[in-house]
Amino acid sequence: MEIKVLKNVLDKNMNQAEQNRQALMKHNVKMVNFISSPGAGKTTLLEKTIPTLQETMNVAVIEGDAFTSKDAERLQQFNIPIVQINTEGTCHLDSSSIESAFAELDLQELDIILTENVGNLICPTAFDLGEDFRIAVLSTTEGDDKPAKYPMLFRQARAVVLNKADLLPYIDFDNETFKKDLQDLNPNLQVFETSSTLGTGLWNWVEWLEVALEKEVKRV
Amino acid sequence: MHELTVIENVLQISGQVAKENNLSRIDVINLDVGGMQHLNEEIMQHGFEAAKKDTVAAGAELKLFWLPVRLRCNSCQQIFGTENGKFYCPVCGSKDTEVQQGMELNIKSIEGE
Ligand SMILES: Nc1nc2c(ncn2[C@@H]2O[C@H](COP(=O)(O)OP(=O)(O)OP(=O)(O)O)[C@@H](O)[C@H]2O)c(=O)[nH]1
Ligand SMILES: [Mg+2]
Ligand SMILES: [Zn+2]
Repeated sequence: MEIKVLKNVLDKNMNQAEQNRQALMKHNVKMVNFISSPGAGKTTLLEKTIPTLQETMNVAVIEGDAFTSKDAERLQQFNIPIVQINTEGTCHLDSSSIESAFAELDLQELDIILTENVGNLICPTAFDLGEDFRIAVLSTTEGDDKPAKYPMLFRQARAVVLNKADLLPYIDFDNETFKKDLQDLNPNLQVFETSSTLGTGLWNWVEWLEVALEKEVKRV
Repeated sequence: MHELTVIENVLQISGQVAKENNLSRIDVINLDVGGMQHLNEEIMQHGFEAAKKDTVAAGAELKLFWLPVRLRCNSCQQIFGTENGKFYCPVCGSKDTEVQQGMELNIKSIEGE
């Protein structure tokens, strides 16, 4: 006997993501989902982004980490709410882990939640968290061919941060190819070149992010 | 490797459907997988073999139907594939496209008694 099912496998995750989205909307909070390979510079970028956002907004961070709390510890200097999610080896955050993180946050008091996903270019793209938009962080040392290889991520992202731009002189990274491939995939994509360690290129990025968050800014 | 999460969900949904339909065993699970999903067949099958033990699908076969990416051009309505790695319209060159096929991750049906 054959029984028709016609159901999306990640149904449960999608439904919970929708509930997360409702919770965020209810409290007028925006959430951003940062996705990259391990070590592309998500935490360093957050370290450089938070101080500016913090001037005008109440920011919280959800840190997805496979095993440790190292990234959360690095962000403690900012005195903002940080929720650490240990995925115990799983390669992505899912919407139910975000729901439990919400339980530890006072959404009413927040304007923005920055979520750092587990370092992985593939798996996190399949899991909607209920975010407003995704940011792909790519480091120059990973190569200029990544857009063509990972179309899902770059089609879904609102912007790409090309980090470790300070290393460009030392490596074989064709910026033209990179930008053209991105354009072909997603013509609306914003691309920023940064060095999160040297602090270059950050201004354009943070300014864009503030506008993208188009927040009614509550003064801190 | 979200293949394993996918498999867990496949088994959970299939088990539920089997129960609702009074099946005592599942023989086949038919799954549509779109080309945008970056899923690896070998890992899926390995994961399935390991995870199906002690479930109603213990003796089941997982059949994957791979659906290649198909985009629709929003300017000229052309439908085209991306096998050549190009995501823009081969007819008019527009980059304004929509994924028509390739995002699927659906259990089509289950077979059993
Ligand atoms: N040269 C250079 N190094 C950088 C830059 N940004 C980050 N790094 C270094 O890259 C390494 C990884 O940075 P992280 O910020 O921890 O990367 P991540 O993406 O958060 O890593 P995971 O959370 O483990 O996936 C650290 O040693 C950083 O100092 C940059 O712009 N230029
Ligand atoms: Mg990190
Ligand atoms: Zn066209």
